[in-house]
Amino acid sequence: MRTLIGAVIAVVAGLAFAGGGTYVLVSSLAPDEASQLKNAPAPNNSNPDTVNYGTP
Amino acid sequence: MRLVLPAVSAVLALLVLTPLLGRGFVLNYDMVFAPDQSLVPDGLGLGSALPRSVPADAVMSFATALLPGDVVQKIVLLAALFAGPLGAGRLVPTNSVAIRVVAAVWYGWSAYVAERLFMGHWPYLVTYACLPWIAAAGLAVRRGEPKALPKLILACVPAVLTPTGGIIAAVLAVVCSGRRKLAVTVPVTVLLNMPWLLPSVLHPGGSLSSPDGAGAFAARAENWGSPVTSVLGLGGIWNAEVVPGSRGMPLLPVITLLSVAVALVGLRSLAPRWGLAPARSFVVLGAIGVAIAVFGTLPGGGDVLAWAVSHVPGAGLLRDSQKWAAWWALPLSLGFALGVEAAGKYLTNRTALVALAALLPLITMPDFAWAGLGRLEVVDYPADWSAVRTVLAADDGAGDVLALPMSAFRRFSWNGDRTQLDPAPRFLPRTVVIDDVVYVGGRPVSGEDGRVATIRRAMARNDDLGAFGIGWVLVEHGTPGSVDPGVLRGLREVWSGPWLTLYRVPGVIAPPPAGAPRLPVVAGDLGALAVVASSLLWLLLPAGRFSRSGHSRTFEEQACAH
Repeated sequence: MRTLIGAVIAVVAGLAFAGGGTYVLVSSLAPDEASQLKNAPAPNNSNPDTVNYGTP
Repeated sequence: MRLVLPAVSAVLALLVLTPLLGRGFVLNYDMVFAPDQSLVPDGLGLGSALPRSVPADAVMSFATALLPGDVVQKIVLLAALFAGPLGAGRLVPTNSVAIRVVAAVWYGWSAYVAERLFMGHWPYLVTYACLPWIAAAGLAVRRGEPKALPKLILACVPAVLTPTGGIIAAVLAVVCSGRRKLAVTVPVTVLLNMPWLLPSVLHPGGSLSSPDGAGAFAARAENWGSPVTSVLGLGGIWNAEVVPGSRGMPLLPVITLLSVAVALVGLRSLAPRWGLAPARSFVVLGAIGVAIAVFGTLPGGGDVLAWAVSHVPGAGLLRDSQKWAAWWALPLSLGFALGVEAAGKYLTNRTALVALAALLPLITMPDFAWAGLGRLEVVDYPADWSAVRTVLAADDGAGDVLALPMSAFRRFSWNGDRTQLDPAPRFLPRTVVIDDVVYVGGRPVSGEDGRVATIRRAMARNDDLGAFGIGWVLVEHGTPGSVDPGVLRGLREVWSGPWLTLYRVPGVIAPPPAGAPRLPVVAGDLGALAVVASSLLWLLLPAGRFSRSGHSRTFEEQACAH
């Protein structure tokens, strides 16, 4: 049981490494990622008369 | 080795906040700091608005009287992001520094912290940082340790700056202190919360809220998982705009469920170390936090919440329910660390396991680093703001300020077009009336301030604003929203710049509508201050120390004699 827990943790960590690495890689390859992440404007603040508090 | 945990906590805080440490202000969504915030009636809950930021605004008025506002802001944010992981690491019942580090990283690098920081909810960050210290002091009270009660009170103080923070802190304090201490902990925590509690109860317009917001502010799924998995992973805030992109990773729900499983295994070892009752109530409170957070997303839950918000005074606190998941953060972090410890005993490469476990939060949410990869930035207020402040401070005439266009939130190009709460109420030295209707997903959510509704109707009729206690009108330029020229007709322009124009309302200015009665509110403030001062004195003055140490020496002497 305890070995199983250890194995599960190791697998989770491995998957997270793989997933996180893939995510970071994909993010860094996308040419417009920086502009998307940096100061991303509120997506539906298109109405010039209101400032949207947020988007559910 | 003693310095490892503080060092790790400092690194975590600096990894996020380093780009923001220069002079200037971070203004994002609900986070507003001003160079020198004035103490106005709203800061004590004596205005017409519900006391949502009470006594935080009053405390900031005093703090910015001592230090510049931007320095105060950086100290608050750094302290919050440093003290949280440090407290969580210290709370783990283990002898292993590495396991403490795992808990610290899981607590400090969480989606809750990231999303609330990006949402500008700095009082929640402060509350979150206090929770491990409150839990530790509460457990000490339960064990009957000397001076534990004043330590518990002081640990709660930074958290009680807002109603939500006050409740989160008070409940955790009472739960950790145990049933036998209820007679002490309940009155003390109620007293600490008096500065916002009394203005809420005595608010002339009541404390009911609009049901519109119940659905709009419900927890949300951040990926293909449900809101439940998002909240279990300490995310799920209602506003998609403040969620780090990494929270959409497809693998995240799986990682969340597995980490919860590890935490539940680890929490089983909490009972032998803390005792069954405290361990059980600690975990149950975490589960209750998750349940409240996701309640509005369950079938029928939204309707119940909407009814409660509009019929039960104070139930508006249940809106934006994900904030209650703060109670789950400690059981998850401590449980995961203890689960890793349990697993490590049966693995040959324990170091690798612990290192992986400690790095997992950073790997899965790398875009929390460096102020959210540039999401937050430091800016300066344009000079117009100081100029208008000077004009208002120099005038002895009566009257509050009405900020136009009618909108609670602004988007200025000088702040990168970020959505930000109107800074006028905190920047200017008079009570500023701002619209309290907020737009969520393009749909309006009504506010509770009856005075704002009255003024809105008066403007539609082009009535004299002076009759409603408005002596000044401030028009903010370069932000969405329009101003009816009819409202400005007949007003005298006093100051104008590229970003602001200030008008004087001519004629007689009526007194503003009465808020909560002053005497009981100030008495409540003094009561809370008295509790805090007494706790400080009990810790600092030698009287308590002598009596306690005298007792213990006598006991030890007796033991030696036997």
